[in-house]
Amino acid sequence: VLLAMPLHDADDAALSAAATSYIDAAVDAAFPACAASRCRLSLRLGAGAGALHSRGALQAALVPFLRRCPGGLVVVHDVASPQAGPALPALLPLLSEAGQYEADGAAVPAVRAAVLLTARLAGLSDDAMDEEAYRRAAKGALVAALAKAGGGGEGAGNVAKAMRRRVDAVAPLRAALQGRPGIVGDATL
Amino acid sequence: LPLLLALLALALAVAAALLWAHRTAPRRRAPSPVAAALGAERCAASADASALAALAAGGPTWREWAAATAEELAAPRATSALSQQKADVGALLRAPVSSIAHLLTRINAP
Repeated sequence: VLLAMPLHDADDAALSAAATSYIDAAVDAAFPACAASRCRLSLRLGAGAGALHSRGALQAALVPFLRRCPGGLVVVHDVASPQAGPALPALLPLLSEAGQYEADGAAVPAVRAAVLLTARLAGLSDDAMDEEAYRRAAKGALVAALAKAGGGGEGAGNVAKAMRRRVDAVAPLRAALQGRPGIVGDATL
Repeated sequence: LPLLLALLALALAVAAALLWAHRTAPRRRAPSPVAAALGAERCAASADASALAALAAGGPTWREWAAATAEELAAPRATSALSQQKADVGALLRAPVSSIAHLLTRINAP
């Protein structure tokens, strides 16, 4: 599931720590069984404190969690961050239908996990759209952002297209979240 | 003749025993990691659709989206939307012409 937000020129491309905390709390309300069983993992890609910016770092965070909670919920923030490119390939097994990681010579299946991604996407409209139109627009903006984050080469383009194929559901992140002070750079409240 | 019948009965018994052993053998094996994971509980399967809708932009469109997404999260990943579309395409190829129009309505644009 991808939750997207428009990214305007004046905005900071990354979500703030306040934003990720607020969204995580809302996710816990939406998935109470995951919160109750402590099987919700929240990660952030890109730059800044606590963000994962390499393939190895992302896999190292995912594998212990999937061993403990094979049917857990993984929230990955800022997947379209300009600095997320190097980590993105490690996200693909998590999103694949028969995905698994290899760690210490053993397979760590990811097939039962549910994944929620957040992304700030340039070129995405604020205007109300129907679900299908929004899904197409957001996926197009996601591919463009991921290809750019990966350096624009053929490999980055392939990863971007692979990500696009693996996203099943897309919705806009609630405007109220975007408008909260400290959530994003263009806070309006 | 009685000897032949006895031999035939013995052969049938052996064949039945072999068939039974073949059919039950896979169940005795330890489950693969993927199979074990498939059997594990998915906590997101019990999503609260109204709270999920509260994360999205609001309005009836996204309430319907949240309900459909919560339902999809309750299904194994192998029956996710994309897999369903692939299955629908497969069914389309095998379907009689009279069913094709119905199936086409189920296939979303990629």
